[in-house]
Amino acid sequence: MNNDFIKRATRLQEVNEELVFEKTAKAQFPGSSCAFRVVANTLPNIANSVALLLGPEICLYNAKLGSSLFSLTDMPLPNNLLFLLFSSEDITFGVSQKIRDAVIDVCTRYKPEVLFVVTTCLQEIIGEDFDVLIEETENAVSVPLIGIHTENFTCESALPGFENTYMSLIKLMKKQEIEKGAVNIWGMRTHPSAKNELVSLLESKGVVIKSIFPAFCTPADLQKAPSAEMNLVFERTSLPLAKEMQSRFGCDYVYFEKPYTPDAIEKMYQIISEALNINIDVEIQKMKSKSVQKLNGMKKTFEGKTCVVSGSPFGRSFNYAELLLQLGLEIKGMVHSEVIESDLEDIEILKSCNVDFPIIHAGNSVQTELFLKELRPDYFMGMGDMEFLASNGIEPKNTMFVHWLIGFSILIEVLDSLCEAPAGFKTIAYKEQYIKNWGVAN
Amino acid sequence: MNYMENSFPVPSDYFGVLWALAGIKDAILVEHGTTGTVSYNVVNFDILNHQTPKGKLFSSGLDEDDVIMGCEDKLISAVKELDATYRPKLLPIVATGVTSVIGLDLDGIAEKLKKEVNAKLLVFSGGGFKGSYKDGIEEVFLRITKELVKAPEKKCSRTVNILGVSIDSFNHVSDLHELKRLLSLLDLRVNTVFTQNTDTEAIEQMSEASLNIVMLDSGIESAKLLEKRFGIPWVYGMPFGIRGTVEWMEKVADSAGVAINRGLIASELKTHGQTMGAYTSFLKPFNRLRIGISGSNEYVKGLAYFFIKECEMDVNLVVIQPSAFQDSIIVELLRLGVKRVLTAPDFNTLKKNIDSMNLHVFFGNSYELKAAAQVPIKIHSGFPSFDYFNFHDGTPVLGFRGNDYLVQTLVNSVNQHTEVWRI
Repeated sequence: MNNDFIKRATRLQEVNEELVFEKTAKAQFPGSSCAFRVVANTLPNIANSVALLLGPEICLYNAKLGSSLFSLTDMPLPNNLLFLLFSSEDITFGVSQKIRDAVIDVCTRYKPEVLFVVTTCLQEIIGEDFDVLIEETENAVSVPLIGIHTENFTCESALPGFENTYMSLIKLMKKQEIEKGAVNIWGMRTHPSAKNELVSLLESKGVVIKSIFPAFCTPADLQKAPSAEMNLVFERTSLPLAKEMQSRFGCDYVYFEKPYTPDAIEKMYQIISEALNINIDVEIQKMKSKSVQKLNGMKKTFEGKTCVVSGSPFGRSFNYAELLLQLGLEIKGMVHSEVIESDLEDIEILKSCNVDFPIIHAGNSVQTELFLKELRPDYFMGMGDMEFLASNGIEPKNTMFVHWLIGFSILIEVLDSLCEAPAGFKTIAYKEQYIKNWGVAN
Repeated sequence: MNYMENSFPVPSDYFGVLWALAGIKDAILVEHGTTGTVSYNVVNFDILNHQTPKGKLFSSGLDEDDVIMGCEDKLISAVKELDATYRPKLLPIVATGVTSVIGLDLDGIAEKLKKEVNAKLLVFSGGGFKGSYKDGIEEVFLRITKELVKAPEKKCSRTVNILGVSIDSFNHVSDLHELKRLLSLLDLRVNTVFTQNTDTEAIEQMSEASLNIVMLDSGIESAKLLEKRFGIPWVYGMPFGIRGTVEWMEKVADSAGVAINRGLIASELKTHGQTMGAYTSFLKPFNRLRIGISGSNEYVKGLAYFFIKECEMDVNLVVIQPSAFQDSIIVELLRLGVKRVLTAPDFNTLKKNIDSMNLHVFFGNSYELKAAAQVPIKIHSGFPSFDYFNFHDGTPVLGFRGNDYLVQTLVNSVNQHTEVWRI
């Protein structure tokens, strides 16, 4: 391999819990997303709430565009983001009074059930005590105020944004009598138009679901969340909330990152059924058998084909890689950001399959493209520039819809997605090939 | 206090800097800030006709230590790496809000780096606190003009530059296409569009042109500078309508010192002038439509002229953007016959005015069109346009073909909204 960074790349067999993937370049694009962005994207999931975002236009304009783009979808997110701009004068003379006035004004004018007040990097640098400000201002309003910090420069990724958002919800929660068989689901994005597999399955067994977040709930739902006997936690960013709820309200929890292989999904359901004392064996075996049948039927298609896998900050990326091996694909490389504790078991399974491949840091798409160019896989399992992929004869396999799913429906969705390239890709590939053959005339 | 739940925070100078530089093909930008800012910019580039900052904009990846200690090492490494890897001709260093506030001396860093890199370094230190995006665009245009344009090796009598266009300019793909076609009718070649799909070599050679055509007012200061340094005359404005386009072409020809082939113009009028007849109908009295217009100041002036003077309709409301020329623009619009002019009204004021005028048609940006929810016909005409792409090159508003497109759009829209004849 010619690329230096590929030579320097970590091999799977070297991966251990202490490993940090080295960044592939000093100058990064796009780099990791920011905590503020995920908070601004997440809070519209709470109906009847308002979020006041504090910061310079750089952050607020992009946040507005982000929420505007959601307004073009069928997701019923409320238009609940408000913007308080900081000028250079504000930075010089302080922003506390401005925030205080705005909070009181917003509570009076919009009468939300809860007001989230969200910082950006700038607020954190100015050095005024934001938490004290929120605490003091709360006395002047009749609306619960929740401050959320999003200092992006202190973290390597956007995940603290999720974590801070989840943790902030604790303030809304009130001690309740525990309701036997009731659950909350944390860390699961559910598209509102379809109940997902887990929710349907649990409800069919009489399990009461109190709250799902981030997925369209109200402050009243969150207030009653401590009445759940159990928290089902599907993302590590919601784990601190679950631990805090256990300590404050006595709610137990079980934690999983989303699995992809049939056995891992089955195991997840077994743990859930034991925790909730419900019998879902028949349903699980039925779904498993259907999935395994589909998986086996597809092996011929992928036999002898190669791929590079793009990991995800959510879900078990190394378990996903194992699924690809089960399909008969050869993994030539992986693009991933970090190894977390729950990955270690999956990594050991992969290692025992006698595979080894280079893994590079996912923060830089230019380097990722060089990586792909060098490895020349048949498929790239992730999002990428379709023109680049087409011109290099690499077919993208986009599994982004698994974002909304859980359980065997993830597996089915992945298998369906692997059967076809994204819409339009074939034409882009035709165009790129034509250009390659004939060149572009001046 | 305006919390902009229905409008948008006006993008700052930081965005203007990015957008004005993004059209220079051999420039690579590095911003000193957290990666989150660059990552987030994928969103705002995407709404600009599905563009991407990939390969164009990079982050130094500033972290907590850098914020506390004011470290410059990451920026220096990033600049050196970009210079060595991509060999750009131009490597602008752009401040973000964080670097502006911690007070890092980016000019000093660039000065130190100058001898160690091949690319020309330019620092833009506003960091989002120097004004609106228009200020950022203007700053880039002026700096680039000052620092890149070389003295001419030769003069090209039939070459012009188009100034004032950046990647955020509404409908620029089609409008530039038509503008270049109009100029070709005058046998004029475009050296470069400053700064759209251009490169440093074309910018360096801007001094060889015989005329600068300024489309948007953010290019005026550059035009003045080029006039001062190289004696290049300039004209400002866009061609709208049939008569308006002929007059614009006459002005351009006169300023460039070239003759007009009136036969060619007549041929254009024969092809494109007939669409005006689509308005003449016993059943549909187009001249009774009540129209509102928003957009760039050049667009609103042009559209107001087109509807009032050429279509003989009423323009009830025009929204203009804050500008150094806004007073004269208001006078010009009122003289033209526009009934009311507002300058950058907030959402509620705009909505109140639109509703009170019972408009039939409103031209505006994505957010303004929401204020016009009650108006039957809503047409995109300005930035930002998050719900409407303009990447097709056959939807011009300018020139003879723009005349066709505007008439076609309006007549078709009215036919889909026959309620306009009842309200």
